[in-house]
Amino acid sequence: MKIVCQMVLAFGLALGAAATAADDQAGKTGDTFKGLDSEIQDLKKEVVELNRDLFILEEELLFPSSTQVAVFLSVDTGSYFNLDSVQLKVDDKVVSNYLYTQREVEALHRGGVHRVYTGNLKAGDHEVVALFTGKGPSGRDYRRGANLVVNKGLGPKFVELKIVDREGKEQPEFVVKEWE
Amino acid sequence: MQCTPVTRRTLVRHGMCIAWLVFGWVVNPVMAGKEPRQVRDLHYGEVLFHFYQDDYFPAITHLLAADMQERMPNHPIDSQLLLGGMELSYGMNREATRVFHELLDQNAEEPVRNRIWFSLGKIGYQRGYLQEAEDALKRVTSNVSRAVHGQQQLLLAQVLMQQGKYQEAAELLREWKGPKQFSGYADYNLGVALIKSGNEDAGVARLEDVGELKTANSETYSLRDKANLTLGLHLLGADQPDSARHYLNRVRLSGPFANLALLGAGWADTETGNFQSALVPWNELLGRSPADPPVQEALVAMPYALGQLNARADAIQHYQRAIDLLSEEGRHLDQVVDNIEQVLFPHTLDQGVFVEAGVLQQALMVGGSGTSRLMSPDRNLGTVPYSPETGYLVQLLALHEFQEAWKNYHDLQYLATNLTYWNEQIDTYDAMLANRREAYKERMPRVEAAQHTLDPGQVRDRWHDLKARLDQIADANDYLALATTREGQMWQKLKGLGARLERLPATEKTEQLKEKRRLLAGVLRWQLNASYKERLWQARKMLNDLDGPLVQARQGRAALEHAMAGATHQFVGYDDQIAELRTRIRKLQPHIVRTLARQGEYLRNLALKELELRRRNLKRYVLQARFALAATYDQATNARGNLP
Repeated sequence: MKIVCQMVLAFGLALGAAATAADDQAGKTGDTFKGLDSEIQDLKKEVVELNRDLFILEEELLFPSSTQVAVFLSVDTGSYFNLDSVQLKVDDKVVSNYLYTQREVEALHRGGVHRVYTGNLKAGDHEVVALFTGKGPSGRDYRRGANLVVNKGLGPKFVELKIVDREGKEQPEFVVKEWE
Repeated sequence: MQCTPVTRRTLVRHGMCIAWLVFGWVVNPVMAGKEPRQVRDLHYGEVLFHFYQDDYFPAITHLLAADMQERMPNHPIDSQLLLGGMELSYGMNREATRVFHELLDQNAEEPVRNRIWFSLGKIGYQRGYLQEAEDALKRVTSNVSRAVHGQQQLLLAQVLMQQGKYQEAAELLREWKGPKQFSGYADYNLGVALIKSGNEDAGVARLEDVGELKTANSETYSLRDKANLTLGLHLLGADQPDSARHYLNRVRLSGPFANLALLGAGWADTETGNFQSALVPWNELLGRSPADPPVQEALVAMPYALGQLNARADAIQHYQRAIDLLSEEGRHLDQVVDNIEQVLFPHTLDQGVFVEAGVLQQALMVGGSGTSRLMSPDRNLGTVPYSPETGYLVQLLALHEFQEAWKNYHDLQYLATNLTYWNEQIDTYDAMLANRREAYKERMPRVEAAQHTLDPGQVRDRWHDLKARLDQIADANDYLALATTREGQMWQKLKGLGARLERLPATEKTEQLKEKRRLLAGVLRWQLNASYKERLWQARKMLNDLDGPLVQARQGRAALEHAMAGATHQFVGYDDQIAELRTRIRKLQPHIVRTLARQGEYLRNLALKELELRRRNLKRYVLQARFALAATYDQATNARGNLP
């Protein structure tokens, strides 16, 4: 019995020791959790800031503000329409076809805004046409379009495709909106 | 024969350790930040789109870029709160703390301050600054939603208990109000706090309530099992084996606590001298994976109980079996240690099959603090995949430090990949700029030539001259001015004829010619006069029609000039910027590679330490079983010798 008791004791220690294993490593490797974590935090900060600068540089290079056009998609409530995909045409040319994952749809429903397209257009009028595909109020296949002629000036142009609920008609409504 | 108090205390301590540490895992730290919100800036919404998918790195990058480009003017506070929260989730605690303190310095409104203090409390807790965490959490006022209040109180109670302030934690939890789905956890924590603060009966009663929760979901089943296990092990340690057995019997046979409960149930039976009964739970354990420590202990405990029942032959057989199985397990463990020593770990974690949620939950509940689930649910063990090693490292995987270290390892891998991408990408920018310079050189002379030949200003001046001329014609009713070229020529011809006829001698023939010329001139004048208004209208219309194209030409010219001015902006000034960014990339790359290697080494050493401990224990089990086997043989021999 005494033997078994010692075994039980050993068993207990085996499980309990894991809780301190991390702290004990300092002496063996020279690296502690906190020391490494601190360095990694510095690295993350540097890389995040570097990505910010690269992101801005890339945008300036590829999509100068004088020609930049970005199209975003948002969902307001979205009770009457479950989005599957969107096709975007600018001046009758398909510039984007996007199929949404369930995770992305959930992010949209919670207030996220998806950038569907970024491109370059010369100054003047351009027609933006969006074709939404998904499930309608009764769970049936639903396909609707919305369009807008936008005027591209000298600055960047932002366009929002909005899916909103039309409570009165119990139908979704698709709106294309220009942002200043 | 009874197990010594040391044994029970060890077992109980282990069980209670689980109890203290696990309760926090119910709290979802970002819940408060995930309510749908009104988006008034597209770029802020874009950040949310990444954030809601737990893609913190792109979300933080987009937010910082949008902030720098001043594209979120309508979300000055929200965006900073979001940034701090995401940095916290991404393991950038120091930056998160800085952001939150900056917001506090800006005299944020009470709801915002509450969210900040709550977040600072979580950071303090995560980093082990418990007093700071307590101070921060206590500054959250009651002016928060019920859900946030419930989480704040749970977290504060956890912080208090970790500092040994059980009495205060118990008082806090007695008054706890929060979402119903958390109430079981609050009760559980309260039960533990009461027992630890000396209020034994009330604590036991509270845990008993949790252990009897009516439920249909797996999470509450686990909580119920945990309460019964905690209670059972606690009572076993308090020399109440009968009561202990009662609660241990309630633990499900298939849950994450089953093995420990079965082991404890056997020990409770031996405490009352009922070795026969102890065989039942231990026999059940023998059919389970020998990699689990409770099973390993049962392998040796089983023959021990048989020995107490004088079933020496069976005891010998079970000791032999224990030695074989534990030795085999030891060899398996050696192989795993070899794999890790050959630098396959943590690489093997990356290559492995991802652990299913249930296994992860088990890992958290059996040995873990649960703090990672509390502090960063989106970078939790769900990202730790399964490999042959992980089966042995359940305790380690559940440790907060290991999880955080693993996440950092994974994050470093991502950073390395990210920089590799940019390192290649930035070279293409150089090529792009060179192409633009070339195109500029080639096209600019042609554009400039076109610009000189087509001056909308000159055309416009001519248009104004024509308009003034038409106005003069209209004022003077100068119908002759609107004659066509042919009519003008005819008019000049008739005029010339008149002059020549005047110079001729006055004869009858001359008079006839003069009359004919006068007649023709009259007809022409009449025609011009008759069509004058129509011609004037046509002329004005033509002039007006030119106005639109002229405006367009002017706009085109302006656009051309703008494009010409902007053309150089497409490549001028970027060289230094690109060079500076390239330097930063290439400076960071080796740093990340080195840190990644050190982080891998750190994880490897953690794993080896844990496995070494397991290996030592296995060896000890085998050794003890061998001694016990020899002793049992001796006893059997002696018994036979004593036979008449």
